[in-house]
Amino acid sequence: MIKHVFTLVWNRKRTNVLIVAEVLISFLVVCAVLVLSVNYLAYYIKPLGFDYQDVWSVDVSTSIAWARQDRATVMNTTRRLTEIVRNYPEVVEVSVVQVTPFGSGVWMTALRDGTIPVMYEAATDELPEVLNLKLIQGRWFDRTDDGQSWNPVVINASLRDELFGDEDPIGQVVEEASEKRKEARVVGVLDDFRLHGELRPPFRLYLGRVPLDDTTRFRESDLLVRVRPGTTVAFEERLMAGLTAAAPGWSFHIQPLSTMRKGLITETCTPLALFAVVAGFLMLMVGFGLLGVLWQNVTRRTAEIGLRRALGAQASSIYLQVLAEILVVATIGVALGTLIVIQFPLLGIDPDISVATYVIGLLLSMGIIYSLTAVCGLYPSWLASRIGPAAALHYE
Amino acid sequence: MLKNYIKMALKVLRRRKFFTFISLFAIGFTLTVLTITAALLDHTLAPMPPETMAGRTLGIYRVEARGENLHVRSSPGYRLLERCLPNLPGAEAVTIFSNHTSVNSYVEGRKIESQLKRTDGAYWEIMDFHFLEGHPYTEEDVRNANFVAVINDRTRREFFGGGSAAGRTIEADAQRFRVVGVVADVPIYRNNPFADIWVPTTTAKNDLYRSQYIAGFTGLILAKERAAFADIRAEYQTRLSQIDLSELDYENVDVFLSRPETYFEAASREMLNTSIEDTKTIYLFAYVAGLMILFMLLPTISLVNINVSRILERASEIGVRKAFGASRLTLVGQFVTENVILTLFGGVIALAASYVILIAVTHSGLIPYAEFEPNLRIFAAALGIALFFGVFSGVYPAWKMSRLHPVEALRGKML
Repeated sequence: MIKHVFTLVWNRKRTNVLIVAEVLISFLVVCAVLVLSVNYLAYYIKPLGFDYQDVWSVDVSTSIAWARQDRATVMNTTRRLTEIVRNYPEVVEVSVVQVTPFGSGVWMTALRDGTIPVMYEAATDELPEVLNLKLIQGRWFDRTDDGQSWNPVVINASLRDELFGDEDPIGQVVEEASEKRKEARVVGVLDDFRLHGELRPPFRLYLGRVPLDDTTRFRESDLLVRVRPGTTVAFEERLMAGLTAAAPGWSFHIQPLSTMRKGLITETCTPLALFAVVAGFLMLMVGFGLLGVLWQNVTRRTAEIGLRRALGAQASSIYLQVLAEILVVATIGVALGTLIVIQFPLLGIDPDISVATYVIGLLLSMGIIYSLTAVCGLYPSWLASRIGPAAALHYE
Repeated sequence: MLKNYIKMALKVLRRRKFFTFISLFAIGFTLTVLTITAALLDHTLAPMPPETMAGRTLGIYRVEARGENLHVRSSPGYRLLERCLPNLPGAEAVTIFSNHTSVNSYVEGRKIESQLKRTDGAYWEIMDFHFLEGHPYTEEDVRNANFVAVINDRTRREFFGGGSAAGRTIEADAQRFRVVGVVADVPIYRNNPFADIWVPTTTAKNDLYRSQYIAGFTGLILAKERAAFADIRAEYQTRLSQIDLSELDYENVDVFLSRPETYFEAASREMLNTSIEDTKTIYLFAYVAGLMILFMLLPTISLVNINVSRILERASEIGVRKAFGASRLTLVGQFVTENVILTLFGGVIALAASYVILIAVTHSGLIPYAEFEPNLRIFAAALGIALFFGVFSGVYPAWKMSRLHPVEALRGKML
């Protein structure tokens, strides 16, 4: 039976090749939308690793390129600012960070002679209290790190696994001493700290300490402030006034992290949503197109179907035949599409997207395409099954 | 002849309403998406107020510094522009202004976020802003570092409700400015004129920006005529080459690049993310055209499928025409004409649909201050796209139809 259906499809290859092309392209479009969506969903469900509620970012801009800064002045002013902010009763804790969570800045570097790319971040000793960071091994930076002959480093679990496997990472050297820098040793391990937000791929994180008294390593930084729940914009105004009074030449921009997070999510999801809407309309169009072509095919094959009926075929088997034919055509399109899509994980086009994501995306798109073709085939095949032998014999 | 074709096309369209619906749906949807894309590009790239003189304008939008372990792509700094822009041969005016930065203001316990730009006085001559009240600040205001500001309509509403703003004071970035003028909102995608608040460059909190070659500013050169572009570019490069690289903001810079670009060159560099050296506008054309054709592929196949199906119904008609000596070319011409008529109907639907969608986007506030008003250029683009699509999707079925053998067609035997 199935072999017979294939023969029928093959016999009408000139007509079918266009339908196959249509199925193929729509399959690819659906697959692209679904793989991206599944991928973002996979990122989204992983824990963020920190608490952004009631945390404000204070973007500090000194309007000087960092390379030309007088680092001692910048550092001293920054230190004074943190003291001023900490003294407000509304403030729980304040920390200095190099890369603001949910911000647009990204700082990449690489370890082990450039073989292991990592995201870099640096912060002062108070960051865990500000963001409720949880360490799973070792400790965070503290005053005991002052004046050491080596630089303390905190890493996340995925970097630990990459660098040390099952060994105990605490006290291990991650970077040898060089002309410019001291040796770096791990003092603690975070489960994770996904500072670029839920919709960015998880990455290996390398955290350095911002020493507020070492001019050789200091550079322009931003502040993160944890305020008491229920703190209003009235305090923001006072905070702004206080900061400006302390550093009249600098500019500040205050924003709650939750607002920045929302902005980042909108920015990422809007293009995808737009793409999905367009893909949805494309599907609708393909559906209508298929319905039309199948309908036409059925009317064209009245004679053939009538003959089968005259020779005793059941209405249901005619119904099945037409449906099976369109599904076989769809299968050819889907198979070609799958061949194209699996090239992406095979060639490693985007290493951030896992194989599982591709598989889920492929299966879902197959489901959608088969449902679409089946739904579009239902009415024409019902029409076909209604053709009586008499009508067929009268044909022509 | 053409009248006959049109008559016939309308008859055929009425014959099979379902197919006509499918075709019009596919064409209408595709053309809607393409028209909206064209409208977005038009509103981003075409010269319209305040950039009415965009055609004669060159901009310094980007510098690139390279050296060992160093690769910086950034906007130019004030010092660079101050050294290279004044008194260029063939230039009518030049302006130097900062990139817009977010600033907070607090009014009666409310927070207002605004984009602030610091500019010189010439900015207001090169840009053709529509002033709702007051006037721009002058070069003298800038020289004396007067704390004056021009604000846009939105900022006036946010600060003062509906009332007049000229002469009143606003606070932004912890500085107080006296409002001298109010301009109509400019959409965010017009990077040069866009801002909520404009103030003199000299009111900056410190004058460190004056020593920076890299980051923070943009320069525009208004040429007397387009023919002067070559001279301006050449002179700019000469001045650029006289800069001592050790003075730059970064150490160990070996190569320092910058180039006056037209608005379109800058846009294509941004969109394709290429280096300032190898930016060619042709890339952008190729890129956009490629994407459009790719997008049209699926509806085209769908349309071709349906058109091929429809040939069947007209087999006897074709047979008769062939039997009476119609050439293949005539038949192809007829069928393509019919298809073009169908796509033009789709085009009308698409124009109406995109009009509704663009107005909806304008009112949704999704893109700040967007004003997507349909104009003649967009209409022409939609028409062009519709014609292209009509021919694109009509040729294959027409060619296939014209191959029908008259005898078989008359007998009713199909392809």
